[in-house]
Amino acid sequence: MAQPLSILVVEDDQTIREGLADFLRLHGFAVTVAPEGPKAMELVEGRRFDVILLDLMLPGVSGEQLCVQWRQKGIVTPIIMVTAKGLEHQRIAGLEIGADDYITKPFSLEELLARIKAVLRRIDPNRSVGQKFGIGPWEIDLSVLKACAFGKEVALTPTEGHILQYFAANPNRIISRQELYERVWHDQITDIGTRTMDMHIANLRSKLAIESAEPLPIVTIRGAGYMYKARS
Amino acid sequence: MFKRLIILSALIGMAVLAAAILGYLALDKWRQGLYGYRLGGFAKVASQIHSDVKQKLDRFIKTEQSRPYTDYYPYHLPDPNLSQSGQVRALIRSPLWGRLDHGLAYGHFQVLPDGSIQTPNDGLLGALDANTALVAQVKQVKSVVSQHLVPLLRPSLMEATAAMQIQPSLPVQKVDQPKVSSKAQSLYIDTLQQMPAESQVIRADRQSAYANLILNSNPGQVIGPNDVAPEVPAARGLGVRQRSARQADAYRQLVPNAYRAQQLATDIQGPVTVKVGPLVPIVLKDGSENASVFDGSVYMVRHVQVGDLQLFQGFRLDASRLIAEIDDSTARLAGQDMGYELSNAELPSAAYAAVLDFGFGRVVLNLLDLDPGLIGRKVRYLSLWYFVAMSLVGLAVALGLAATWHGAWQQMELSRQKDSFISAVSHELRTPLAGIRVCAEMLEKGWVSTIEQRDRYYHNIRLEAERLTRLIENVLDFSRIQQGRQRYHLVEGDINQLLRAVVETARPLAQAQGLEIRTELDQIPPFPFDHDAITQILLNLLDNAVKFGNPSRDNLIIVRTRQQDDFVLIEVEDHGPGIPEAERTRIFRPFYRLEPEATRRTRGVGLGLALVWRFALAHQGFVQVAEARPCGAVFTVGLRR
Repeated sequence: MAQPLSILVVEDDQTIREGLADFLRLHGFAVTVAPEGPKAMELVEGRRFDVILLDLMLPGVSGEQLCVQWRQKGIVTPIIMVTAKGLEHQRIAGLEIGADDYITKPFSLEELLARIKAVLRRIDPNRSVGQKFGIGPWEIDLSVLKACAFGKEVALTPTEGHILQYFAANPNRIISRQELYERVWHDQITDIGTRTMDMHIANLRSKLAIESAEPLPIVTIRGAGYMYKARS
Repeated sequence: MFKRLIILSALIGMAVLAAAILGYLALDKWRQGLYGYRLGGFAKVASQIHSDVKQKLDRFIKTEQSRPYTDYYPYHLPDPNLSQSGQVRALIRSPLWGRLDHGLAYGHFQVLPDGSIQTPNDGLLGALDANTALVAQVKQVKSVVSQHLVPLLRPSLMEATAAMQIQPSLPVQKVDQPKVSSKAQSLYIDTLQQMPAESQVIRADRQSAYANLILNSNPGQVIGPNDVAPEVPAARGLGVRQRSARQADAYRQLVPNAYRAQQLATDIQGPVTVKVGPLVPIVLKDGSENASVFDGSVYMVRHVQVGDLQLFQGFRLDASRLIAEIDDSTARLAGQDMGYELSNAELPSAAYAAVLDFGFGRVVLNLLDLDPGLIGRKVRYLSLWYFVAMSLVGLAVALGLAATWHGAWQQMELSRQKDSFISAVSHELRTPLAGIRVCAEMLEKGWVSTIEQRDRYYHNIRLEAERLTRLIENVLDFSRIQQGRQRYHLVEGDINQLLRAVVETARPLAQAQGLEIRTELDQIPPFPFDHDAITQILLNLLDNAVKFGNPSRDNLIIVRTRQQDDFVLIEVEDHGPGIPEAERTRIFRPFYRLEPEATRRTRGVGLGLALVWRFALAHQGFVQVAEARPCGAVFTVGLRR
């Protein structure tokens, strides 16, 4: 089952940092705090977060520097800049260096929560295909966890449904095992996780195999991951 | 702004450079102009001398050209047509009598058809009381003419006589001229070569004409000026022949045999045509040219025909007199700063040389610059002023640009400080407000679950409010000081008492950062001070110690007071990392902060220490920072008692 969404709060002001941590924990997030830039860098490189709330004026390494470095390292975790820098050019600069949203101090906690949720929705690729989508000959309906094709109906587990949804949302693109695991299982991949994922893919292929019809168009790319080959 | 200033500076620099170069070029042109003007002055003087000499020559030649042919006779009878009726016609002595030099002419003579030479001074030759020197000169003239000129003239004279009315052509010799530098200007004087080509034709009384010939035919005859002329008819047409045997003999001697019979048979009464030709220069090497600037002696000779009689009359051009005339003109016309020298060739020392070219000879007029360094001195003088002026202009421009750059830099710095200040104030206002709002929202919405948590939120709200208050106080104080509106109320009081109270206010802030404040206060007698200012001083110093005192060696901040001379000293000491020596002066500047904006660990807008400095000055005191022992910083504020 999916774990609570993790949030990193990078904020040097103790009052705000403590208040935000209390507030977010209260709303079901797993909160980690970092009072300065180097600490935040260390945390992000060590584990995965779903959202980062990033102050810009930080001791050690500035928020802008952190954001740029993370994006350069391919870390795609959504970043919401929470800062006292409220001028237009500062907001634009923040968004251009890789932030997903920008909120200026002082702010409303409820507004911040709404923005966190919005960012999480925005970055969820499944939104593009919705609850009902097609993959190969199969019509998938996640609301009832069923796949239908040629009058045949197959029941799916929620994880299988999310795997199919992620593939449908990212057609014709190599998806690494790490990426798939992070997006579906919301966790860092391990050897056990890899085996679990491969087993789920194998199960899906056998469930959705139909004689005299085309196989499930999810192929293994050796050494890279998987790819959903959609019809052009 | 700097881009425009760079362009402006570059343009101004280029303009100054261009002006300097143009000025230098103009100076050089001016120098050249001065030399040209000087040279023009020489040329003008040379031209004036040339005109003057030409005028003199023109006058001389005109005189000689219009000289009656009878002036060449020692004596002559005036033409009866020119005499008044009834007047006794006396012999007239030649105006050329008594000396040989007449203006530029020397030794007038005439060559008779038989080649004999006659001069106006021939009468002197037989006179007992004659000037022997003059007689010698006359003989010399006659000898030279006879020896050098007559051989040239005789053939044409004989030819003309044989051909009756044909005018003889005079042989004109070309003489090679000495070479002169091509730099010298050639000024041509054509007077001697541009004689009217037409002969003068006079209708004279034949009897007088012949009488004059006969009268002067005997060079040895001495006739006084008052001698009566031979008897001649008073009027034409009387048919009286009165010719003495002596006259007839003389005439025979004069007239060639071929014509004698005819002439004797001719009635000598009536008019006779006298033709006087133009003077023509003939250059001869007659031995006297050594004294001349020319290559030979210049003889001006004209042909005269009296009836059938062919004569040549002429004189030698006196080159020494000509030179003297040129010398006279030059002396008169040359400027005071000019010297001159006449020569055959251009002198190396001449500033300007002009060649007075007479056609058959040349005189080089060398004009000398008596003050050749004058132009150099003028140029150096003006150059000095020019360079002084350009240096002043350059200095003024450089100072102007420096002032502009300084102003621009100050503006830029002010703008940067302003931006930094606004950014800092914005941050420093927004951050505590955000903290207060977070705490308030948590409390308001009931999201705080425990009592401890609630108390912590209230405490944080108070800390943030105090932080805001300090910030606003600092900004307002600084604004008042900047505008000169800050008023200090010096009231006598116990400073230790005030400091203790302030320490207690600041203690929670320090404790929040894990620091303890200790006081070591000496006994200070009451003295006048501004309570608000001292409060601000200590709060700011403590705020600084809390912000920069971490990590602290012993987590201690010490507040001291003590007396030293006329000052009461307040010291705040922390045991943190301290302040680098290079920063110890700058930290008192407004808006200055030790750390970069983006990564600074501390809060503040950079006004705290600037205010401490100004408040200390308001108490005629000082503020200084030193290194604490064993580490950290100690700020000392001195207040005059």
